[in-house]
Amino acid sequence: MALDRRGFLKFAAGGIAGSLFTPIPWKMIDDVSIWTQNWSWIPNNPEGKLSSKPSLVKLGSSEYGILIQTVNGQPITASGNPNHGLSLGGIDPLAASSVQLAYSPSRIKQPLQKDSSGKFNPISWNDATKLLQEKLEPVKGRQDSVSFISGDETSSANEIMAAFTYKMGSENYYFPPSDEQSQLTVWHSLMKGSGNIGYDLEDSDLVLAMGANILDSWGTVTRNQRLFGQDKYRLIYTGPTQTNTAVGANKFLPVQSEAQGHLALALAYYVMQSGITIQNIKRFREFYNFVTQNYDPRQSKQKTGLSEDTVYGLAKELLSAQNPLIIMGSLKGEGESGFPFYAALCLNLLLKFGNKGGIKNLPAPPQVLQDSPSLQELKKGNLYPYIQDVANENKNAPEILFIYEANPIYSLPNPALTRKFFDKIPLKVSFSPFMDETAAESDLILPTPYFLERYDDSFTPFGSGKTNYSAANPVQAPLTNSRNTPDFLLDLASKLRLDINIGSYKSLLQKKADLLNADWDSLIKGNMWTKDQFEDSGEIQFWNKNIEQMLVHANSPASNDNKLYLVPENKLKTGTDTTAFTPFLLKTFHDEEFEDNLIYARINGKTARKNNLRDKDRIHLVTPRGRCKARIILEEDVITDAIVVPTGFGHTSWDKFSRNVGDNVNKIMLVKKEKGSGLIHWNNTKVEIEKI
Amino acid sequence: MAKKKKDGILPFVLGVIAILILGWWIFPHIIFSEQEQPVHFNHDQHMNLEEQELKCRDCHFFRNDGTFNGRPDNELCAGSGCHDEMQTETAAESKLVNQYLEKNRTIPWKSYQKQPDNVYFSHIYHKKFDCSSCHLDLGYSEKLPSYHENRITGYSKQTMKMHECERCHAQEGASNACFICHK
Repeated sequence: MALDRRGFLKFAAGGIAGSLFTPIPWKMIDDVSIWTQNWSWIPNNPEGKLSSKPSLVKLGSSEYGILIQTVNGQPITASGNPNHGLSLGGIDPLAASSVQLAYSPSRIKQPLQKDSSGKFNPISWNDATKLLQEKLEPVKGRQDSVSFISGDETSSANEIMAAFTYKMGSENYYFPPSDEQSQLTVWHSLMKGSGNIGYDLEDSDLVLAMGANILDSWGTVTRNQRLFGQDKYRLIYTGPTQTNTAVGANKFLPVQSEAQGHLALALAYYVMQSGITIQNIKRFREFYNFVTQNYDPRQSKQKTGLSEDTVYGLAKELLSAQNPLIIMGSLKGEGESGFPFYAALCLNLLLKFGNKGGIKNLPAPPQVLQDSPSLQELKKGNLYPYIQDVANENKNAPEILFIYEANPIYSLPNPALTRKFFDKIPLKVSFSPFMDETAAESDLILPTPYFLERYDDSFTPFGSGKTNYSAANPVQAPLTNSRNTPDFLLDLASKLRLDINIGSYKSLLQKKADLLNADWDSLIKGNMWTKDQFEDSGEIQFWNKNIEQMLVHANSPASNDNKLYLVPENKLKTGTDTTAFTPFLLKTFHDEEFEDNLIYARINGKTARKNNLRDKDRIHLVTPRGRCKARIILEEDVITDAIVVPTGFGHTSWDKFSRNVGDNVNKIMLVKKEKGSGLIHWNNTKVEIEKI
Repeated sequence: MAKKKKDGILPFVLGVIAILILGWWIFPHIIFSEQEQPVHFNHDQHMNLEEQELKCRDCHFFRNDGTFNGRPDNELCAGSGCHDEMQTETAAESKLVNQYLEKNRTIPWKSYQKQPDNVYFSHIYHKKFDCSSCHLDLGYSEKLPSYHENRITGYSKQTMKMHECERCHAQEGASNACFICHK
């Protein structure tokens, strides 16, 4: 039988028909479909020994212990640390992406120096040290030799960095503004208290969170969440929008941000009417008279927007609680005036102070370097007025500005002013591990290791209830050519013959643990040291000339205009002032949050009708400072006449995942100075809306 | 015309037979590559040691947090006085000790039942089943069977498919919702 063309076609047809009765087509379809899922760019889980190493989150939120899961020593994921008192097994969204963040394209791989064309070129550590030595030597001892901005308020690195600054002859050491700083200014300067304010959530049975987004971004977030999850306390939230805290709370009362202080004093009125007074507080009678005259039920209704019954009911709940706690805070975590903090501190003190629950007076950390300024002293510095003074030539600009893990160019209001301040300084040195906006505007970048790659510690972060201390070993070897900033500065100090009496940063941490009688080995295993250690709060004053001035100003009639209250809302999923949001977190955003690359501005239906706005309108939020682009979203969980805008967008640096996404609301904030306290604040900015 | 009639359907039938042979006998050999494990491991010998009574769970165990260790790591093989030094003169043990344990290199075992990374499988939830319900029954084998890797997908021949997981879940009354296995 010869195989001709026809015969071959029959053979082929038989083969094709017969193949349907074999596994070939079906197996091939199945295998190819599986093969299409083998994406080469998706990392595989490595095989090997699984273990976990403790670490300490340093991403700009309150610090706490986490566990880094490793396979053969390589970090693969992060989880909460059940043995750490501020984690209690919980982890926030930003820290959950900390392992991936170590590999961010925005990591600075090596020291960089900017040339005259504005381009960064690599420079060796030796050359960078020589360059700084040459610049610093001639200005040693001058008051305007250097300035330092530190973005980490709890680390002992501040001891070395501040010692370096002071030994250079300068006292210009600043932290970026925060709720903690504003509250401490009120507590120390106005009320003459001492120590730091602690929040004893563990022993409180009723927590009134006034604006403070305690289940999302305020203070010790994971601890707050875990304690609330254990039904440790009943939670009432007051604020201009239904935040995650409001959603989780037992009761939510809508109150404008600027009315929070008034609500606290309206509650104080009822508390004092019930017969509670404080005998040992100076000039209590004047406070009593002021509140009685200005916060009777009729006035309270007008000032808070809440009905008389609502305020009375809330006061009754506070009075019937065994250990109530009031937490005042802003939705942005910074930029608040002193009045609401004062009002909340007074209310807390009226209800209870020093026993179980409520607020506590926590001591400052012990000093290893005795000739370095104390952290308490350093926190008195106010960054924004300093920037203002230098930019406007009311103060001499420093020869060199050092910036450690802070991003003032992005996070402060009025970036034009911060840029003007930068322009006055001949040499700006950034110690950032990431190419953030401030690093990009610096002349020299000396990358510090990422927090997983270095020794570091944290003493009683903001929001804690008790004195506590945590420390961590590096979890992984540095992925970049970086040097821990305190060690680098110790090296530089010895070359400049500045006497800083400590061998290394690690030995300073160990000495600090010794001073606290904390076990170093236990600390680096992820256990938090804690102690019921409270400080005498000093001779607290409820009344003086400055307080009176602040209260009178707060009670002066507000201007009646058609503008809306701008409510900037910070959520940890959109990052912090020092860390942009990460690709790992993108999945937590709704489509509408990024639609057309516009941030979402939430208003309610009544506000929309008053301002002739509709859902999905493209708008500009306008202040004399500038414009911010957004898209309207109608939601009934926002109070009338307020517009809620997320923070954390509009980055111009970082990486391709966060750069040029949305707009930065910080740039349109209007800065004001509060009478009496002298505090610079920008949280009650009012905006006009322009449709695009 | 007469010639055409003579051939009839014979070429067609031959085509069918050829493809059946190819599909059922040759194709399964082509689609999978046959590979040997890096170290010859004798389960039976380990289960019948004179000096020490070993159980499956001594090497394949649940950790305290409920995760399953899978195969023993170098530390376990070398520890407890087992293979910290040569116990026999076999080539397999020599390879284990010299090439892997002494150099602290992880043994690149080929997994017969490896699932994709997007499948979350918890052994502890399935511990009521006998291991051999899903895995090859090797507890008393003298030689590890050859590993057959699919040339297209890269997965082992024995890798359980999704429909098998779903069938068992359905039979046992467990949920078949996506998020049960895909996190």
